[in-house]
Amino acid sequence: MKILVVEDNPELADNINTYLEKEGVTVSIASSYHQSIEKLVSFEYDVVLLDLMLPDKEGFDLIPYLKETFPSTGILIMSARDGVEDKVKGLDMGADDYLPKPFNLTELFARVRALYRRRSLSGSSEVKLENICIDTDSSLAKVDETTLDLTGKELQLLLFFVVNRKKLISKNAIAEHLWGDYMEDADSYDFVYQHVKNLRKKLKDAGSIPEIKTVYGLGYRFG
Amino acid sequence: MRLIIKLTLIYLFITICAFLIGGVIVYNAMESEIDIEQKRFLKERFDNAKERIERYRPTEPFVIPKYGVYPIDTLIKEESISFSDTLVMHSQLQRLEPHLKLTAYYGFDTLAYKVILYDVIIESDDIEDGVRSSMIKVFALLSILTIVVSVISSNILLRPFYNTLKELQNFSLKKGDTLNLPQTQTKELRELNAELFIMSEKIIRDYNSLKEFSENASHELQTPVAIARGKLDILLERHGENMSEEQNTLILSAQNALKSISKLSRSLGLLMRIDNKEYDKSAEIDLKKELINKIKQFKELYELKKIEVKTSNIEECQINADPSLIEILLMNLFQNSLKHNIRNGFVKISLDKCLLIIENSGKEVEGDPEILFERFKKGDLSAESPGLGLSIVKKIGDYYGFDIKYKFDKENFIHTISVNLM
Repeated sequence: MKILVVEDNPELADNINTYLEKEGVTVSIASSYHQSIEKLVSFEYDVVLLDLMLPDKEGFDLIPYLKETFPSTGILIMSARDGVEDKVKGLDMGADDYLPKPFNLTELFARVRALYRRRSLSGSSEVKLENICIDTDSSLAKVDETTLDLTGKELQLLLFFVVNRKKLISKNAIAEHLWGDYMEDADSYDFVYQHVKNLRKKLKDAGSIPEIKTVYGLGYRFG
Repeated sequence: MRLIIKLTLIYLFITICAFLIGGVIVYNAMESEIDIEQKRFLKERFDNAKERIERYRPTEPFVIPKYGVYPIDTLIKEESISFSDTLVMHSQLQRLEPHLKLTAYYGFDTLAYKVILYDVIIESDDIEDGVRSSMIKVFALLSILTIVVSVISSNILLRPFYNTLKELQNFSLKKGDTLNLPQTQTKELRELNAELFIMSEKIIRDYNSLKEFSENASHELQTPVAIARGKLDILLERHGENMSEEQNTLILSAQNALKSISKLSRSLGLLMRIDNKEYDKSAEIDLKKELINKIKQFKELYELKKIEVKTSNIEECQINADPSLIEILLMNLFQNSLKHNIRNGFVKISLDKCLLIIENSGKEVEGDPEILFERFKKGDLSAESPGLGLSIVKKIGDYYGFDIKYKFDKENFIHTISVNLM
């Protein structure tokens, strides 16, 4: 997977780069509108991560160009401006997803992967990890041939684990992924714990090879 | 009261004063003029009488109406004339009328006469009546003319002023329009318009820079927070398992603090945007539908905390508002009922005639419940949230004129928030 990160803040771009490169994702960084055009004409990207505030132009301006020239490239807006209008405007212009800053890198990666699946691997909606197979179209998860009986949230959680396999996933990241910003007190950790506990049991009963490991005090690691 | 009416009344008041004083002056002038004229007239008649007396030299008194010549015996060297007022029977009116009387003693050669002449005088009352009635008539005429002229002229003269006023009433900062004031020839109005225009330009500039600043502040804050969170993510990911529990805990609390910062800045940004009246999209909202959606959305969260959800009387309610603000309002109310609830508690939601009531069990709240609507005031000081949830609810309520009430039942530990969305 090749992605272009259009972000004028070098440190944030570097964070994304560091995190995603380990996943075998090829990351290019452009720090301005014009630099991104240069990169886009030279290489083809699967996903463009787009910041809305660029030093020379608005990030929005890049969307029509992308839609016209590279219709198969997915666009994920990551903006510090969380105004509803920006979100609606971006999605209306043809962006695929919107992620407000600040975000968990795990969350970012999950979104990028989902976008990549939808856009590039058209036809195949399956995500596989060893003997686990998730069909995101039909919302079905299987271990070998056994279909898991999962709730919506559990399926979401399993997909999050599979996408971020072998990575440390904090409880915070899980809570934010499952419930967005609605939860802010310590309760969310209990909820995460309960969901993980149920999912772990269901996976184990079905004989899944990857398992959810608890990293004490921090979160979980899947794989 | 309209300015022109006030001006007219002041003008009429001044006119009344002027007419009263003027009336007195006119009265005095007329009275003295008439007095002089009457005396002159009587003196002329006396001169005529003298000629006649000298010609006929009467020896008997000669009396006809208003005229009397009486020969007297006293020798008179010098002629003397005196005037006095008297009442004489008026021959035509057949009643006593005040007359001016001339009494003269007069002599020539060896003859001496007393001459008495009368004439009807014009009474003070009559002058007063005349002056009064003419003053009243003139005043009435002037009043009518003043009112008519002021109404007409105010429509012409003050039209630019009313146009300016209308323009000001329609002026809206958030629409980003500039003040478009009408041209006028009146100096004062031209100056007023010029000042207003300069002021509006300044306000627009200030408003825009403040808006820009608040947007940028939020943006500028979120980016470093995003960087810090990313660094901590990477640190945990790479070295988390090799670090001590204490180190990990420190990283996690730093992450939580960063999360709070970004939430706080977002909430403050939201409050500011509502203050700036940036939410003016209006759409018909089916509140019943929204409420049912929210209940569904929070169902799992309530279940996880073993909170029983009771719904009753969810009735139709259509309102006109910005959908995102209503979403935020409901979200905050539900979050509140979840966050400040207790395990095995309950939440009761009803929507009857657009009166939304959310009741939930919870811990006791110290102090005046009203202060919970203020920024950074929270019932439970140990809670992690900054305490902006209810002030956002209040702000949205104020924005749309919803009546929001909070009640705490101390005996049963039940919090009730009611929002009248009508």
